[in-house]
Amino acid sequence: MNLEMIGINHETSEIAVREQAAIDPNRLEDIYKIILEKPSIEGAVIISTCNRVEIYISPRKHLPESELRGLYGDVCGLGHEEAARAYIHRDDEAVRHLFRVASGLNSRMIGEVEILGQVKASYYVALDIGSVSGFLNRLFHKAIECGKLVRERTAISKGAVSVAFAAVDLAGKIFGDLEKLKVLIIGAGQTGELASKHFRKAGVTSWRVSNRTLERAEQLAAELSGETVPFPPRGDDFLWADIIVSATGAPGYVIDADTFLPLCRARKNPVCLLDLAVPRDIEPDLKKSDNAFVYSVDDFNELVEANKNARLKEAVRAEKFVDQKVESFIKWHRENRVVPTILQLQEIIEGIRLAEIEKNGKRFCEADRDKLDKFSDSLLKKVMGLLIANMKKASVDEDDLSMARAVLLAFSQKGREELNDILEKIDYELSH
Amino acid sequence: MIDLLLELLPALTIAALGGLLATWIHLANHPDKHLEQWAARLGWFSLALYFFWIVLLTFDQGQIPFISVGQLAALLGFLIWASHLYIQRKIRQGILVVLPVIASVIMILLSIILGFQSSERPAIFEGPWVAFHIGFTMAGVALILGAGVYGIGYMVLYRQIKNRKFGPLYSFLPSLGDLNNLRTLTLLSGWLFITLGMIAGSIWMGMRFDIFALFKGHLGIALLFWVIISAMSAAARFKWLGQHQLAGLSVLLSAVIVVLIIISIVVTYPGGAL
Repeated sequence: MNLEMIGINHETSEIAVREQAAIDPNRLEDIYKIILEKPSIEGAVIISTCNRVEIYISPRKHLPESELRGLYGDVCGLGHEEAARAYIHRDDEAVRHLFRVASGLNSRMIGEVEILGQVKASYYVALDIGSVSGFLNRLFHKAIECGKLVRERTAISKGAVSVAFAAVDLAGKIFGDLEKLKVLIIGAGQTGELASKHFRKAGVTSWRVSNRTLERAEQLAAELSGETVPFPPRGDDFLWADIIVSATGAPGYVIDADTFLPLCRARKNPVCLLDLAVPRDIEPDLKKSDNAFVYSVDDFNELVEANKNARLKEAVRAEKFVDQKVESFIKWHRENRVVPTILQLQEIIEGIRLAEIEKNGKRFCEADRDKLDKFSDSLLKKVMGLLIANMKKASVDEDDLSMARAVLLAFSQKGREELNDILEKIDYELSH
Repeated sequence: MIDLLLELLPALTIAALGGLLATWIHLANHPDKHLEQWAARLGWFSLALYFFWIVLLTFDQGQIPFISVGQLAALLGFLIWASHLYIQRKIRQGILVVLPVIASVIMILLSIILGFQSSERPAIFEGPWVAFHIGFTMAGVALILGAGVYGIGYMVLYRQIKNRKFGPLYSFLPSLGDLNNLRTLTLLSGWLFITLGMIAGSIWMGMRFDIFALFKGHLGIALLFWVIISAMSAAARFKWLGQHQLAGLSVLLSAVIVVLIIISIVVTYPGGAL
């Protein structure tokens, strides 16, 4: 297999190096041009995200490591030292690496969803530019397929792994559908704004915002198409809301038990109180009410930790699916590499068959000539079938191309230059 | 020669439900959306098979399928599974599928052990009203048992969320909101069927007995029970009580129903008295 990849990611390089290596989308076309100018390279795909910059190359012949690192340094604008720290995978290992990347197994956060979209986008950009060879086309299709399969057949992407997401996740576990719920945001700072973004993404449309500075409250309320209420919120705001997110910088409790516990007990529907502030805004005693679900940052951290552990467990299952997909891709490749030999063989044998029919056809009457044609065709197909099956078997099961080589040599004829090309490729694969 | 009605079909139904049970137990540990879709299809297939068996049994014996205790168990198992699948269409299937499958498998096994044949159809079991009465009542009972199952699910998840235990049950159970909706839906549908059963039963008994029979013996208890179910349904519908309290009451009600069913079977069938 002729595949190599070189790259850096969050494990090998710090953010400053990754930032330096990140490729400007506007420069991609020029960069692909630089790569494809090299006569030894058939095709290339670049994946550039905040956590990785990787180049996948299908070369005609493997490039020496120094040349690969030099190319990577040139493309990413890295010095010799940084480029020397990039990892290189070749052939089967490069396939496995890409499949793991697409499946979110090589991400900073196991099971990350975004990476699959990023791999897809990188592939489509390369496709538009015209840098994707036939082999890379198949490789990326299969990698994307693998990423989808892993997410469908395992829970690797399930469960929130950030505090803001965990708050939405927990509210979803309490209420189910969030679309008809009413949310009160107390504290319109960065955390409150981030939480409201996640809730809005989950479908919430009814908002009230309470903030010490009215101007900031109005700003956030306008963004959310909600309304502002006084700070601290009053009892009727508390009774109105299904979810209360509090993230102020207040030194004491904004929602204290003395005032709000009786209101909690008076409610028929549950209320979810999400305290994202440190020090806490919501008095923990409120949880004494059956209807109140009160959570602080520590609880969310616990939930995040539990989800991370669950993802790690699922990663073991995900690796098995990746193994299966890699194996199937390698099998396809090994079968596919004897195809040029098979095509040549078919052409040669068919030529011989037709020449023989032409030569000896006069000895037969018209009706028998048809029979001769069918008989010779069937005979040679059977012989070829055996030959092809054994060549494929040797290539797939034993990774051995010597049979294909021997067959090609046995049938070689003068004046068939294309045979030399195929022989050269086989010899190259055999020597590796 | 294998008997289609008494051996092959019940065996096939148990095999289908057993396969389903194994699949869901596997899914509890290894989430897999693809497999879940197949499990849902297997669920509907097992229901179709079960239905086919019950209908054939009814036609073959020329009588409503609850004359013997075995037939009664088979029918109740079918209704539990059917009502579960109906309700489950509202939300994604989860761990709650395991309990109804176990209940249905137990009912089929009981029906096989206790036998499907009845000696003779008693005269009081003639006419359509008795079929309506028992059919509606049992459907109602199956749904209220379902409400109890969702109530248990609610209470388990409620405790997990309140106590910040984010374990496997937390991720596998549907949300509290979904469980509450399912419980309300099953309770209200159960109440509707039981009410229809009571009306059909009153007509049936009015035809065969004097009206005062309604207030005799266990019929009085049945009426009291209907009043309790009605009150609970109203509380759920009009939100007189909190979700947590209603979940607890549903569990209690289901437990009482299970005990009453057992008592009713023990009293009715061996003595032959109604």
